[in-house]
Amino acid sequence: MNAPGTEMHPLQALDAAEREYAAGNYVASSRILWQATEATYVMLAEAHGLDTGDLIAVAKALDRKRDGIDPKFKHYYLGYLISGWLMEAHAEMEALEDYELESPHQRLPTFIRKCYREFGDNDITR
Amino acid sequence: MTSPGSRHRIRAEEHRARAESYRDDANLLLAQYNKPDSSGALLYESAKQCINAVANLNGHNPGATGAKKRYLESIAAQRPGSGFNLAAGWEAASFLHIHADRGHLTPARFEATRLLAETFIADMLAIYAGSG
Repeated sequence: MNAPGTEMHPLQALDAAEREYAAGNYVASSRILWQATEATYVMLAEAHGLDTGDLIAVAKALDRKRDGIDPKFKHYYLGYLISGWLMEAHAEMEALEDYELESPHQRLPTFIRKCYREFGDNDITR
Repeated sequence: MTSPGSRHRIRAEEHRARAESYRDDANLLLAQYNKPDSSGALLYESAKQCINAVANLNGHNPGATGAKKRYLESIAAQRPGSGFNLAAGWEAASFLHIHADRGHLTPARFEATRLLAETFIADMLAIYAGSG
């Protein structure tokens, strides 16, 4: 599935987000990062047979599943979804200071790549 | 670690008390008055006080929010594999702060974000207690 609003596979979108971020285009990079995050949760929902219309429920269901394996790290999936929302908020409202953008721009691409390695379609040519 | 009675230690205790008070007030505003924006703003303030409390307990006083965030990163780096999801918790608190200013956060998103912000505050208070 492509990132919503783009013609790109989410893994390609990450490269685009990184280019925009490096060029100082933080609104564009945040928008792309949110679109890639949203597409990732839709992919995760489909991979686990969950409802793609409620991404909060998807994140919580995956966290419950994960708690059975590694109960130490709390709200893993919900946390990354909220990081995505933070990027969406910046894309829409320019709500964040520059220093607040660095962490989600580092954390989300790592998470998204991991999700696609484990559950997704890594073929970006389709 | 600061010594008991030192200026940093006294300041740390004041920040911890404020963190708990803001969190309790946030929950009260939500439960009794159904004011999510005000509640979210107070949770963000509580999260900031938590960082100040742990920082001062360890002899630091980070001041501006950017410095608080850097200090938080150093706390997280000292505790790899601890299970604390501090980066996400802080981002949740920031998200509540943005929407407290500008409104229009859906109830479902508010509840999800509040859950993470509350977890962040609880984890930071546990780190504080473990550092003392």
